[in-house]
Amino acid sequence: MKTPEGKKIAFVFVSHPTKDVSLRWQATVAFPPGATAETPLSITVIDSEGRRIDSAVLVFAGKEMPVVDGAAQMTFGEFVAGKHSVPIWLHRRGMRPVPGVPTFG
Amino acid sequence: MDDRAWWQLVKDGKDEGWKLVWERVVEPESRSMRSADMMERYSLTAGDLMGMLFDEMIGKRKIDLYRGEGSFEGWLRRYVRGYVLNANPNKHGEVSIERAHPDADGEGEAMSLPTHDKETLRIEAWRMTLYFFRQLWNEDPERCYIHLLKTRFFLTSEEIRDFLDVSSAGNVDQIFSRSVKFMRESWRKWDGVKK
Repeated sequence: MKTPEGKKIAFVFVSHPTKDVSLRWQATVAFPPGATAETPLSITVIDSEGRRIDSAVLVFAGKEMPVVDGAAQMTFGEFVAGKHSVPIWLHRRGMRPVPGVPTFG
Repeated sequence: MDDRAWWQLVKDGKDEGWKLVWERVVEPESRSMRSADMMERYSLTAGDLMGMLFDEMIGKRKIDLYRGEGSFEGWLRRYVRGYVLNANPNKHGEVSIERAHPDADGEGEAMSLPTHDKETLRIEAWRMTLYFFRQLWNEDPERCYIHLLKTRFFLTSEEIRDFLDVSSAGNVDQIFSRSVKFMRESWRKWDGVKK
């Protein structure tokens, strides 16, 4: 497995539509050019106002990851291993978990 | 490369041929004064055009309709232009490439005065596209990844094969073709529900 050289690729996921703005979130998974299985991916998680979410747990690609200061960690190999995994959730303390969906962003 | 060689590469689904389709047909057409404005209004991207062409030419073997009369580039461009002309969001997803072709009967229909609020239709088209995309995700996220990598990031089938660890480039093409078909059929069903 390998990402192409010289091409920037990022997938964007957003929370399911919800009237409560404070529950909304957005996660961006960026793939460095030439990444291999062990390469860490850059995952950033922000709220509806574009601020980094301090503390949360992101469920994505079959893995639960702690979010600290808006960043989560996953290797490219873990992403590919979980490429068939449907659930995406963001758990925040004191808030109900909110599922996410992919976008064209 | 002459037209015949280019046509053969496209017919065989070779990246070299499809790269030229992107560079000489889809990308220039999407920037042309003639198509750019309509594409923006109808929420069409160059990636959508590329996906449409791939699905029609390879998935439905329309490539065999080219008889070598006139340039291959011109022949492809006419399909793309016709598709854009007929890309009214009100009938999004059920555009047939034969009807879209400028030579087809009823070409003038696209030029008739609008009877719907285009902005409303555009928003609906965008929302429903996202909804169908989510359904595609629920079927298998890998299909969504391939759809995005092809239509938004313009990766070749070989690059996607390496990226997602798919067994072969041919398999990537098959999955992509299925995802395009899924989106199209979702639109067809939605239009059926509205009627």
